[in-house]
Amino acid sequence: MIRIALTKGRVEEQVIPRLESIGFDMIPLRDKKRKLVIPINEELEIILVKGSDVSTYVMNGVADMGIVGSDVLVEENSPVCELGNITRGQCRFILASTQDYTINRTGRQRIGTKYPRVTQEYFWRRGQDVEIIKINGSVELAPLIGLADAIVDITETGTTLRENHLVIYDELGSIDTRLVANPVALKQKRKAMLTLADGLCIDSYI
Amino acid sequence: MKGSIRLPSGLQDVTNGLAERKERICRYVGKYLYQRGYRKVTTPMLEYKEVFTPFNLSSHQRFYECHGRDQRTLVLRSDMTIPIARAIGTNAWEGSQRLYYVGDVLINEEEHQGKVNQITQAGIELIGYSSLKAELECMSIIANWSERLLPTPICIELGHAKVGDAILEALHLDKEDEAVLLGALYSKKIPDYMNCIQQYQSSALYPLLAKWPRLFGTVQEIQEELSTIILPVKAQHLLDELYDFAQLIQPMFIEPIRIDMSTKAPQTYYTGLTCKGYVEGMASYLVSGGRYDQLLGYFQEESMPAMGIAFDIDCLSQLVKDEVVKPSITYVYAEPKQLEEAYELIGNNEGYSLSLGDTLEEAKAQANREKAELIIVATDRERRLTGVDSEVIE
Repeated sequence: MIRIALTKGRVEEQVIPRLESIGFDMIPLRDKKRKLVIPINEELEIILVKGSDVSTYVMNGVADMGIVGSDVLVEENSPVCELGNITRGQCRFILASTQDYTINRTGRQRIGTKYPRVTQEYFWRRGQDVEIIKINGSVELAPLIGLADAIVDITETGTTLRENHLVIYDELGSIDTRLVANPVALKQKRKAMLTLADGLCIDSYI
Repeated sequence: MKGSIRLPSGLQDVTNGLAERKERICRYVGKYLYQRGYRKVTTPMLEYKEVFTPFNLSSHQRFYECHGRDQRTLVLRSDMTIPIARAIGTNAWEGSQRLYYVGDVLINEEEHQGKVNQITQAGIELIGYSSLKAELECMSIIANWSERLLPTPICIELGHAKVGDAILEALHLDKEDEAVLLGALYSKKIPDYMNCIQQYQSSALYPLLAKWPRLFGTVQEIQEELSTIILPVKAQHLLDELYDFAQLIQPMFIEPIRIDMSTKAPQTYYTGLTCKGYVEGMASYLVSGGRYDQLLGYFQEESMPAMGIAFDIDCLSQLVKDEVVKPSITYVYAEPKQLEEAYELIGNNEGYSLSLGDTLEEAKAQANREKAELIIVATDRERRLTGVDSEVIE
């Protein structure tokens, strides 16, 4: 039996049809109500967790595999095995700010973000030292009210940014939904886990 | 002040029978290895940091650091083999050695991840032995301990420290590209790895590169993956060595021997065959080891061939099949004037122990709590109370 830690919400909705397409009856997950542990059949069990917790469940071995956005993996620098992408590029990291912002302005900039590591690496590559302000929600607010000069965030359609009169100045990379695995579980359940990876991933390595 | 005292993240007090179980396993492995001709070596918990510096220990072996009076940086050991190599080199031990150790390593893991930072390891180091007999000796010990201690069969996975280099040598990459490719492969970041190898699509090695992350499993699974692929000569030679060794040791184990060509060697100082062992239901390795023929050369004039393995005793303690049987204790209570008589009684009877209760009531309460017998040494007689609130036995 394989236990998968699945990110609740949008990722969960993306993954259900993919699991159905490879033969799993996902009605138990569709009708889950408030349950967090959902047995699908004798081969598969789903546990629903927050994206930022997927790696913790997988690396501690209580889940064999996980499904999580690559934004979370990049930010956590997680040691889980990343077997492939289930969806690719539906969201992207962006640098955004108000219309009067200049990325190359002199002086140390203040950047608001939920992703300090991604932000730090981006500005290091540009040769700029910036002050990062960690914000956990409504990141778009930060440049509007003067908390930060700009933000690094993720966006799917850009609607929220436009509605708040924010402009995208750069794209830092696309974000994928990724299938991850515990390294030892991958050894123990090689055949079942690779079969699942081949079925679920759009770019599995066969 | 009291409220703010706590253990650092990743550390724990060992109680509730686990301490006894760990001790019992350590005693077993110590006695077993001593009788097999091994001699114990104990190195200090603290070493100068430069002892470890050349070996670029992985992020999973980050140090706890502090400073000595000479202001040099000291670290708590996060590896047992390097200090033993330092001990051999700096103390000019001569000749081949069969050593064993039991001790703790401390790894400064990231906080709040559920990681365990202090691990007890027991292992052997075979110093000065270059033939395959050293590898066989290690496998024989793994097989013995697994059979004796584990409830389920162990899976052994073999690898070779040089297999990555042997494959990439044929691709003629510069060092930087090689590091990026191997980094993505070894950490199994497959999307990154697939991006890395796109530029080699026209190479004859591309089919191998595309299969490389899957080159782990039983001999049969590896052979199936490689059925249409030609390996570079050097890599094929190493794989043949692994096939031969797997065949040689298979009779020692129930589970089929596995081979892994897609994972980094467990330590940077390994130079030859490596091994790991795991059991079903445990998401970490129970044992790992390998050949390290160059390590001694960092600490003495000439290097010496060597091979070692280490068991994770904490993992083993969670898996062992025998439960510790709590010994039956009989407490002896006496007033100060009768202490001499009490100690005589204790000395003559196995399992007797002095009750440290200040009063008879406290002694009775302790005996009741622990479901132990209580003997009261009185001036004119010895009285025995059995179990909880039991009758006086004259």
